[in-house]
Amino acid sequence: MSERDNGWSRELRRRIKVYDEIDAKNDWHGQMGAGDYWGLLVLTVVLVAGFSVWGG
Amino acid sequence: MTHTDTTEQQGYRDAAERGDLPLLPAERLWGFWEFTYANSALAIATWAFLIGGAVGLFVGPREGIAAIVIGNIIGVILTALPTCVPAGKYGVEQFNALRSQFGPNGSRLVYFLAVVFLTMGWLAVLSMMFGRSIDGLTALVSGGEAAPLGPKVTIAAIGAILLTWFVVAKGPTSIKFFNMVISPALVLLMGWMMYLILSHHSFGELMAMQALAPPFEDKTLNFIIAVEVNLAAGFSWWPYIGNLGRLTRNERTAFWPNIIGIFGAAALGEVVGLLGSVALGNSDPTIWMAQVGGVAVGVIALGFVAFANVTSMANILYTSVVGLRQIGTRAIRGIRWDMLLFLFCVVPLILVVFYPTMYDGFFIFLVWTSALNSALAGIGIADYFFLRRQKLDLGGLHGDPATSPYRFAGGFNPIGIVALIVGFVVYVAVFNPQTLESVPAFKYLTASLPSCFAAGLVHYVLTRIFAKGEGWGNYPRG
Repeated sequence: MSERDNGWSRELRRRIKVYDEIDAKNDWHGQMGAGDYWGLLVLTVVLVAGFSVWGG
Repeated sequence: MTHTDTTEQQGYRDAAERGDLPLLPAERLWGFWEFTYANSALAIATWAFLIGGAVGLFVGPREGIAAIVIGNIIGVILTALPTCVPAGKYGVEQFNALRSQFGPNGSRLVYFLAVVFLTMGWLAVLSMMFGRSIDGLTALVSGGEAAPLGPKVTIAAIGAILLTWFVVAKGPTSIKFFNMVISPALVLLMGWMMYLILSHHSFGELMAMQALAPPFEDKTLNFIIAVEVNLAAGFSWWPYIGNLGRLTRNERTAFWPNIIGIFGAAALGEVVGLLGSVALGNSDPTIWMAQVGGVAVGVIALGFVAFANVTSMANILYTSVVGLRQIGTRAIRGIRWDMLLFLFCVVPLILVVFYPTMYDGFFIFLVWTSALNSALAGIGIADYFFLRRQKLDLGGLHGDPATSPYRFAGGFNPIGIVALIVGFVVYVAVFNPQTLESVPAFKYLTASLPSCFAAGLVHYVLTRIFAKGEGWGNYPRG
């Protein structure tokens, strides 16, 4: 394995470690939660039902 | 830190930006509004006028606006969930992430099917739109008749492709400059067109207008076809938005701006295209824009639309060829940048010369792409949310494919491929985009939604049953 490959693997491991640490601490900032998915569902239902009645 | 270290770190950051490595949260610069602006700029393009015009063929403005909202909101949400949420969490390039669903070679196959063909088709359609804009503009100035299938259009369309090739070959800086100018200007053009249309017709008159060429007597069927065209428009963002989402700071920032940017901006443009086409009696924006406000307005609008088309073409050509180099073999990466761009343009050039009527039936091409994109979205949702419970193995995605847990069989995940085929077959069985023939269930379910659901279900069930053992995706058990 060349020096370049070694450096690349090191960098990849470093980046993976950052994410592993976030995962271990469950420190995902801005993670989509139940509120987001419910909001999404309500928005979709309101738009689809509302415009179906108005124009469908 | 030495100069060598700094240069090396910069090299890795560049590699991460290109997608070779996952971007770290600190390297991702886009917040909510930056991403909203970026994907609004992508969505506000001339194709929105075309799609709106196509909707006007099937239904009148009231039903058309409803179809635009319903189709786009569902399509954009089902597309953004499996692409932007993982990208926002891990900063991973979309087609690298796709290795977890299809394997490294399967991901390449999907890239060719979903990105290369889609982009080549759009390049041909937009170049023809450029040609027709120039033809309409010269006809307005000379007082003659426009000839949409004449040699002038073909020559101008070829010129548009070659101009796009030249701009993109120069590098991304020129494209960024055009984007900064064109997107806000297109918003102004849309506002201006809307003003001109509303100055001739009241809102009530517009809403009472009829469709231009409804294919069936059954109004519900025509409405559902209009919804399907818009679902296809929403799903057609699948190849592009994941790689924009990875530049944002987190999942929420990667997801929600799509609702304002992609959904809102595209819907606005389509509504203008719809109202213009129905009010002026022609679905082709290069025709109705020439009639909406007299010679001077027509010349300015068509000249601008021609120019804006080149910007849209440059955006998609650049994005697709960058991606092609990322996922391509060593031989593809060895081809010179300008030569690779030109090779990409050969098929659109052939389409322009030998299939100029593609422009008038472009929505058929758009709807065909949904047979694939809706299935891809379904597989992505089943895999990332239900099978993997939102966890990816970054080492497996970026490490040696020969030892990766995502190597599957020869680099292909046969389960993902089967699910994709099932989704495609379900789509065509429910609704044939070429002939517009459909089964009775189409009126209640559309075709994209059954395709999305079937592909996701097949992927989920077959994975649960068969994906066991090392190298078969490392799916969590229990």
